[in-house]
Amino acid sequence: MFKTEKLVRITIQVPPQFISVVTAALVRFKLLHLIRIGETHLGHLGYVADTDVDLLKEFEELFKETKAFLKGLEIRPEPVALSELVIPEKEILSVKESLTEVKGEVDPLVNELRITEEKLLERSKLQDKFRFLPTDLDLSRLFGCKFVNWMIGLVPARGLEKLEESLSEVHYAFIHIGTLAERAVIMVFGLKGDWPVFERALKGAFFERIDIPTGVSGTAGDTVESLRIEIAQLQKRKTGLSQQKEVFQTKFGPGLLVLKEKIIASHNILSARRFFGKIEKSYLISGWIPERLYAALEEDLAKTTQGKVIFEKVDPEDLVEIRGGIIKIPILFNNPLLVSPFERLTSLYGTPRYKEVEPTLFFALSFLLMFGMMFGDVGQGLVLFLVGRLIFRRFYKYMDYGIILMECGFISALFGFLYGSVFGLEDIIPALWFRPLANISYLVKVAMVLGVVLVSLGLVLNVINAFRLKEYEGLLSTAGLAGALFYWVIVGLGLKYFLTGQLLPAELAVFGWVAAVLMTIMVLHRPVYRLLIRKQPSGEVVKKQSFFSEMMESIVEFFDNLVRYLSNTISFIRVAAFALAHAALFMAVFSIADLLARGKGGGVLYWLTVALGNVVMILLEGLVVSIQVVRLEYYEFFSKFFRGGGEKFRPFDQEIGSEERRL
Amino acid sequence: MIARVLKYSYAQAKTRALKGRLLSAEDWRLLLRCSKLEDLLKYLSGTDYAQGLSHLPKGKPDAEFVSLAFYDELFREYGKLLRSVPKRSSSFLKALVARYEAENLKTVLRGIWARRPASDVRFFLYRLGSLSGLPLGELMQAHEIPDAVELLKSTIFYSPLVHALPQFKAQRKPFPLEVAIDMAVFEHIVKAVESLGGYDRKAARVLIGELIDCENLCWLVRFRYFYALSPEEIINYVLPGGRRLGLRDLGTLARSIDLRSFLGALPQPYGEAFRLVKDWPEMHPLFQKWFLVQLHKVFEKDPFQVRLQLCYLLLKEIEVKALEGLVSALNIGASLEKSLEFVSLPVMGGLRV
Repeated sequence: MFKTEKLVRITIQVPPQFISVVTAALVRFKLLHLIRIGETHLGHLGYVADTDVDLLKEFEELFKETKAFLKGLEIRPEPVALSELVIPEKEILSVKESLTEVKGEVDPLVNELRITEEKLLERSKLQDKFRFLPTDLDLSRLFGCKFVNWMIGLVPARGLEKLEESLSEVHYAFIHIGTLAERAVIMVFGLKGDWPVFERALKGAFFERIDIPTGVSGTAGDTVESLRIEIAQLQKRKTGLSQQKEVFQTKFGPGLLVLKEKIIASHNILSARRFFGKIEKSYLISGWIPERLYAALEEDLAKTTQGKVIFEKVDPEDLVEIRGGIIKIPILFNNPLLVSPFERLTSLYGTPRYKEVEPTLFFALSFLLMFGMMFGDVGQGLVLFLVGRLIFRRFYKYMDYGIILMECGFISALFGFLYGSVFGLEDIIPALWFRPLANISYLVKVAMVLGVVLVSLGLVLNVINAFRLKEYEGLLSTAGLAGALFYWVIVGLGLKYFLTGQLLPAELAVFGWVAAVLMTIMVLHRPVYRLLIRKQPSGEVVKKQSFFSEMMESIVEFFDNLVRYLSNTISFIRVAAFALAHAALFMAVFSIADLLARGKGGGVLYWLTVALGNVVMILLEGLVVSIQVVRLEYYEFFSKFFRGGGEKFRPFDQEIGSEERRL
Repeated sequence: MIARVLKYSYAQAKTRALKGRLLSAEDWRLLLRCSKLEDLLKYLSGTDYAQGLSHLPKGKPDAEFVSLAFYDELFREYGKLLRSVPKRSSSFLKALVARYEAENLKTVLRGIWARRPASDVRFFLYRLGSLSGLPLGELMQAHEIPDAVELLKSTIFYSPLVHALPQFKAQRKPFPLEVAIDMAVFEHIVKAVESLGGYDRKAARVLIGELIDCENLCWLVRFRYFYALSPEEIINYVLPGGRRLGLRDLGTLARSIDLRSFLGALPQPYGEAFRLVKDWPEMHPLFQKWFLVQLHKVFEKDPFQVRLQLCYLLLKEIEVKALEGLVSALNIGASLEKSLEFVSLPVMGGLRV
């Protein structure tokens, strides 16, 4: 738990006939962090595999086609799990065959439906336009005009003035019949001799003519009626086709979704080859996997390829590049379900190195403890828990946040019992520990103790990290073991003083000697390290050009770190401060509620204010407290030991998914 | 007054600082002596344009690419001033940038019309970045113009384009769409002016009105005497919101039969400004020179109004257009002195070349 997964580097040599099978198995296996051969020495020498570009393109075309069918049949593109192994070279034919079969039946239906819908839309629009005409307008009489031309249509309403100006030199008349979607429906009349002028002006005014078929007789009302009948027929036809579409949805939907997944998988497998190496005819796949899974992967691939693949497993310790720091071992977190959501917050600060202590568990526990202390209330905790549960169950994508919220809610409720507070009401349950507002100095002491514990834990983890990463020089510095001892001596003395109210002269004398020894070690830690560990001759150590500047640097470091340790510890007072602010806010809410309760309808107003106050507190204070806790974790705790600079483990399927062009 | 001073104190200082960095008369004198595009770019790399020009691909510079780099600088300055003025003024300045959004949209629609691949079209687009709200990526994927128009639903261009679609279909050319886009953008600017408060609105109305007059005159000349469109059609394409040229004036100008009658129909002070025009192509640079004088005058007036930023940006725009003109002239091997007839330099007074 305090260590990341132990990984081993594997290299798989695959004969060409098995490359697709092996890639597909690796995609399914997921937990492989691929090493891109192109970026290694081998890659620089040109031993990089290529991929079948034509086949890739074919799959891209098939994907477009499948997507068009899914869209045409209005099938929701939900991902489906593939139960069988996908081998692109074999898959292409079966996918093509299946799509041809679908095409034969679906294409005519989709096309007919599209045409019907277009016709329906067009007729409906025409009907809308005709509705503006007076129903008794006799169209046959208009068609009989000898000296006058006319037109009915739409122009943008804001262009009417310009249209009038453009026609100002000829005789014209236009009737503004109505307005349709920011456009004026107009009837224009003019002399036949002037008509070219009208045509040019109307063209400039973006005139859209309403086409009235020349053979139309009767009134505008008659035309509207015939359009209504036509629309009804088209609607009926559309309903029939839609029903047919529903049948096709059931018939082809699941199959199309599987086809889509197969195409995506085939495309991924083919494009992954770019990251592989190739020597002669064999493919070379290299990457990191958890050691515990190695045997299973080996067995799986041996079974799939009838033992034709060659495996090589190397322990990271045996790799020269790792020892030399040229390449990094990726970090795969390994935490239980309740802790793993906090990995996101750890990663936000940085990715630990492979050998560093993995601090997520400490982070999670201290985060929850501080959150609970600052936000202790049974009712509000319950609300947080329920919101978290809702997110956990309904929003799969944000499941991690749901878990964090549920845990925060739980711990908040727990501290609510300890503080005896339910939605700020302190007379419902007894306080199992103490009430913050009544015991302020005690609360501050608790917060300080928490600070000492967490800072100390940070210092201990730092020492462990120094040993693990073999940074022995740092152990003697202020930031290492010597500094930690110095801090603990001061804390011990402080505690003694707070508990008894006095310090004995002997204790002060011991402290003086200890402090003097530790300070000397801390100031001289670099030369001492060179002298004792590296066994350099003393003359060489003292004569070193930077000897005095190193000393000065260490003195500054000493005071800087000393002040920092103390300020980091004091910083934890904010835990008490926010716990008090939480209780004080409740007081404010109840005071406002009391004030409002004096008026008419006071009872309702009282509870409404309490409820509203609680909502605001949960939203606003919950956020502020979370930010404060994260701040304490990062600046006061992590800064003591966290090195960072590691590389995150990227599962194989994610790696190729992020690289390839999105389908 | 105090509120205005507080609101615009930073913006006016910033604007004045930016104005001080415009190319000087001496810069222009030296630029006009360049005989090669490379020399011109070398000189400009010692000015504020250096940043944009540093991204140019190596090798022989492409005129289109160079021009776009100049515009990048203009948009950077738009960005700076948008952040320094009050919110309403910022919306107004953003409406001004919409003219370039409109140009991009026209380019994309032309690309779709000519069935050009997106990669070709992208090359010609102004790089507006966050100043533009157009879904350019999706637009360039559209195969037909009506499909592209549907993608513009949330923009100011949607409704005018929908209204212009029937004419586009009837005429089978994108011209009606382009006119609709231009009209939409200027209507948007006029609306933005009207949404400004008191002093800002009054001052912006004058300058924008003159800008619209300039656009209308240029369009009249272009449509009537270069594209040979009929007066009846042209009148419908004029922009409302001009300062001195109303619809009736524009109608009279559109119907004028020659340059003489055209000039005679112009109201003052435009009549005086165009007194020396002998041919149609001279109209635009002359008007721009007149407009430049008006812009420079603003810097002597009350600076705590959005007109200061407006004037600076228009000056910068004229500078960029002048540089673009020089680059085009050098690209086709024309003499820069000759090109001065068609390019207005944003400096006050004369310039000895």
